[in-house]
Amino acid sequence: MKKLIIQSLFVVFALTGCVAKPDLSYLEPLHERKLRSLLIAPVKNETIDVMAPTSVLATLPFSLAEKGYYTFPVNTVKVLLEGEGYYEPAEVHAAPPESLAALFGADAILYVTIHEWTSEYVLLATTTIVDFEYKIVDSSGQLLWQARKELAYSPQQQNSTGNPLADLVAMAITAAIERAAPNYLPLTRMANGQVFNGMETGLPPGPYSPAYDKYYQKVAADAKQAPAIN
Amino acid sequence: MKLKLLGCVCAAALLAGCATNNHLYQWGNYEDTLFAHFHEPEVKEEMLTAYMAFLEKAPTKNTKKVAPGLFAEAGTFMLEKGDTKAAIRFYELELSVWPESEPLMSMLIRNLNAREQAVQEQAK
Repeated sequence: MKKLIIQSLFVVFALTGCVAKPDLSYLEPLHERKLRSLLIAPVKNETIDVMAPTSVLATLPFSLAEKGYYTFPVNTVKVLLEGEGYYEPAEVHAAPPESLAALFGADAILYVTIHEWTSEYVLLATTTIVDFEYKIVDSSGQLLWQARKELAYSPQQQNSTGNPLADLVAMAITAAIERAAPNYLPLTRMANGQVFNGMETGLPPGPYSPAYDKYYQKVAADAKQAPAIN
Repeated sequence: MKLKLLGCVCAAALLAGCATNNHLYQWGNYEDTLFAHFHEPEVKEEMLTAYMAFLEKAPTKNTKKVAPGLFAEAGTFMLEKGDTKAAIRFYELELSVWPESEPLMSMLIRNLNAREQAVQEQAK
């Protein structure tokens, strides 16, 4: 009996060991700054697809504003920057973040770079791949947060009918559809959602989020309970 | 019978759940308008008309706020069409709803007012 108890204790220990808290130290700079507003800089493109940067730019305000941050109007910002002579997003990314933030009165800037944006037709199935790098830099030029996300999508590969010939035909059809209208946008929205809300990269709620007050009360309580050792 | 009724109520509740979203804001066709603006000149005007109609109706229609930046974007679209007065009106709307936009909106409104005045004086 005693042995059984000890054994079960071990099991419990082993289990608690498994659910070790994720490392949330990346949040500290964000908690310290408590950003209200984010300037979404024009998206830098490292691929050859000329539609990629403006497509990604258009999807970004939704995910960030819905987190509770004030997001500056992306097209207005783009037009104003062009008026200042910044036609290339790469030039905007290379400019000092301090002066960019000051120009718009933003708390911080989000920089997104597209590393991959491809749709490959391989053996009857088209795979769409996106790979984005995200960075938030505050108005003093300090890097607060960064993340990278690569996602791939191949439509309906698991949908087997049990008939190999029918499967081949079906795959050829989906591949054709996929080539005509690749799933870049749903994939881009998914990448944004996973990065801004997911484990170990998710952003804290912004001031317009209904969860904001409770969140920072908990941050304060946790800080009291477990004072930093280092 | 009672069970059937309950089933109906549940189904209705589920459907109602589908109709409303849990978004913080009203977005209208903002993303589509941006896409059309950047990539699809053939539907650009149509999208913009729908967008402006959404912004006119949105504040009265729903208790949710219009998402941040959307009034300002309308201002910039109007400016592109050469309608400075409408642009100023939308920038002022953005400013009145979102204090974070104040530095940028004030600057835009100031510059546009100055430009309007210069044009009027030239006309005299």
